[in-house]
Amino acid sequence: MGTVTARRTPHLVGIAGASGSGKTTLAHALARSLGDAAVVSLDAYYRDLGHLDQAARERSNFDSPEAFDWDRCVADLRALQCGQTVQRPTYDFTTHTSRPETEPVEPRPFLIVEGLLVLHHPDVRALLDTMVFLEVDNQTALDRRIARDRRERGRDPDAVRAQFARDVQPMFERYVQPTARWATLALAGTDPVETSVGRLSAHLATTAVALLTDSEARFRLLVGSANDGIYRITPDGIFTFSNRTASAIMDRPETPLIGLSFVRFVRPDWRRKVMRFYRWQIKNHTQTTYLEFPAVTFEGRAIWLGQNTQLEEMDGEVSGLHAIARDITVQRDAADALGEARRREIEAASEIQQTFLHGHAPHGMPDITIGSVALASQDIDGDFFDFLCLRERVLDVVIGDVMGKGIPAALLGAATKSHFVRAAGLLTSREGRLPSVSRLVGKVHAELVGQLRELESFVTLVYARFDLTARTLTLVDCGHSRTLHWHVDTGRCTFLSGENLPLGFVQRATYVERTCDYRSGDVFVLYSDGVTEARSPDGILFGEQRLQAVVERSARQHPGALAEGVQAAVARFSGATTPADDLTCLVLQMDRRTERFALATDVTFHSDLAELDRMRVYVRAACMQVPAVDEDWAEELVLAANETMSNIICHAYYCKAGRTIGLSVTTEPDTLVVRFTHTGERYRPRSTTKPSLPDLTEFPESGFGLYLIDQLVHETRYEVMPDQETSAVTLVKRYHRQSEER
Amino acid sequence: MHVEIETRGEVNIVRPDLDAIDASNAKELKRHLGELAPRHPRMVLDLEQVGFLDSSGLGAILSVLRKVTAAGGDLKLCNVTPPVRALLEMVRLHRIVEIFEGLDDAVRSWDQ
Repeated sequence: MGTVTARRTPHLVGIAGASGSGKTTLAHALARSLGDAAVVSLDAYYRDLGHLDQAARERSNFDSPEAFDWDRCVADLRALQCGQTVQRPTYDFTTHTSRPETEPVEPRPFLIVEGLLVLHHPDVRALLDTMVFLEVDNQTALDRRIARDRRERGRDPDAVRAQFARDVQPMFERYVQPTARWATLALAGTDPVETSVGRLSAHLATTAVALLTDSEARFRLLVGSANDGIYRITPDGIFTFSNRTASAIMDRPETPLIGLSFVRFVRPDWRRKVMRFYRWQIKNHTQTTYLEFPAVTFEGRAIWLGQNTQLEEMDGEVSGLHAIARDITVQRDAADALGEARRREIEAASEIQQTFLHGHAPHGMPDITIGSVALASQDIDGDFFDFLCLRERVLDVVIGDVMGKGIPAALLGAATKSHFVRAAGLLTSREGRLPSVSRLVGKVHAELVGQLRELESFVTLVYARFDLTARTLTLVDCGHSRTLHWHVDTGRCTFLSGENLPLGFVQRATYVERTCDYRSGDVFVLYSDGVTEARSPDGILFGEQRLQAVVERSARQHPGALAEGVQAAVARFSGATTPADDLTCLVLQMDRRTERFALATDVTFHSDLAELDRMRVYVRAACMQVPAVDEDWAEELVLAANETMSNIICHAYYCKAGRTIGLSVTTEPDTLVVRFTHTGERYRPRSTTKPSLPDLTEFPESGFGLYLIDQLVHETRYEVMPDQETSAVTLVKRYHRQSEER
Repeated sequence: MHVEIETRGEVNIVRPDLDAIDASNAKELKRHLGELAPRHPRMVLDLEQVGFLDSSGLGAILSVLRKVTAAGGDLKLCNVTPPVRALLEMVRLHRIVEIFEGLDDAVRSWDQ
């Protein structure tokens, strides 16, 4: 038993079984084998029958639970477990009375409690760390009992036989046999005692004691707590031990889980996941794991369990799993509710922004392409923007930020925005021509200044007018973040700023505008201070230089991708997915028609059909960056891409894992191009004629893929790259002419 | 794979809890529904959850259609999302499988 390490608090072993099953013999043999162990016999706790005459005493039922003084027994075992010496009673089996003298029992690292009904009483069971049940056949039990009672208790064999038939056998069936279900180990009473000791020692070494040696404190904490269910499961998922709390968690405290399947308690939609998890733990010999999963009780009640699971290993083989589980339903529900509330708050905030504060980029405006990102912080800062088309080939853009937070800021932002729309319309129709930018800002200031001063607030903004014919930008900057101008010929950025004060800052203000030229291909970025004033966890500002670097790196991308790139760079820098301040970024690309843009570049996928879903996300996202493309059109391209990637996995890689597939999506004027690369078999459709639709009345289960691709895109190309290893499949789909071709 | 099955009289309503039916899961779905077909040949496939269907998903539907037809029953579809409907129409599946707007219409169609 060198592998067993004893601990400071005694380990209690209970041995139950029929009379004559060999409990006492096994208990003492085990004690000798363990060395430092004490044996307590439940027989010492028979009630004193001194008040009855001898005949009545003989007729008493000694095999029924009522025959024992459970209170004293439990008290003594508790005291021993706490390290105290107890005075155990002694019993005279001839007279059926307690003797006046008691016997001291000292606490030892191992305490072995043996007796008929040791597993009967729940309070005793609760104290036992290991529970053993000895099985034996009736004849062996009777023969042993006759021999013992004659030898030790001076009783007549016929009286013993009569008592056996009258009391022992029925009582065994009624009280003793049912306790076998609590046992953590069942042993055969007919086995040689050395065999039983060996098995029991091994069990001790691998179960309870092994659990304790490395982390006794944790085990104590977990077992001691009334909230934890404790159970042992075989590697194939059958309960072989469970405590009362485990049953109580499952709504039936009186029903042990032993013999039941663990998986029946896991919520059906989680079963595969949970089983996979534990198979993985067993396969990898991971000693301890923690998993939270939804369970369903006997009564059909849905709960969440947090389960600590430790491997039980014997000779390097996993022989079982010890689990300590806690009902975490309340915590889970609370966490879910909190998450839900926060999510709703952000949703409400961003809904306000999208409805009242954010304008819509004009679609299909020639010679200008717009991308935008607008994220609401949890506090709502009152960022707003809008686009005004007051005359053909002129686009006005206003972007602003109200000082303050919350609903008042949002309302003020909405009011400012609508003042601009109204003033622009009014002045244009009254004067028959476009008002100058400075005049427009001046008028809105005059209308708003009273309210702003009353509310002690002000508004920073940029009002920008793009004249697409003259290729000029005229802007009034009122204390807002500086507009960034990327020049296609140098690849560098300059910042445009003005000297004007924010709206509402002073009573009387005149606004000065400035004008600059731009070239075809230039990019302008208008943004809120949520971009440049975002801070890293160390408190460092994102700043204009970082923004400039992002723009210079990605300015040739589609404006939508650039706006998202700016937002992603800010999120990475600040380490937060929800910005601390509202974040708005508008990207305007001038004359991009001759340009070619990468919408998704060099994305890599594994040769696994489960990757199809991720690929579809990329292609959908790429389509969304092209304003002229609608959802139906995008889904057609997504389906064609899906069929193509399926074909690559199945026909180029023969469904073998571990290979890769490259994806890029680009846009050219009026066209989207999806291109897959792979290094597998150079598959291509056999025939050069158009694929035809399979005859559905034959219930074909394949053969649709190529037909669909042909229907969904305008052109499919199969190529071998110059390296002679990489193949490419390219799908071309046009969007401007789709209506006439359909 | 979670597939919800609801029985209304002799009609079995099958509702796959999948956002997309593609080559990664069509085979399993086909097997699952194929096992149901002989016992429950009157089947309604409720595609409310399914936002994407590809050619292998089509194959699965046709396989189930073959099996329920062989067992003397029929397959009907309902709650089809727009992208899925576009695909079904492109391969003209709507000509051999009845597609209903709502579940109740599909179930009731057997009464007539």
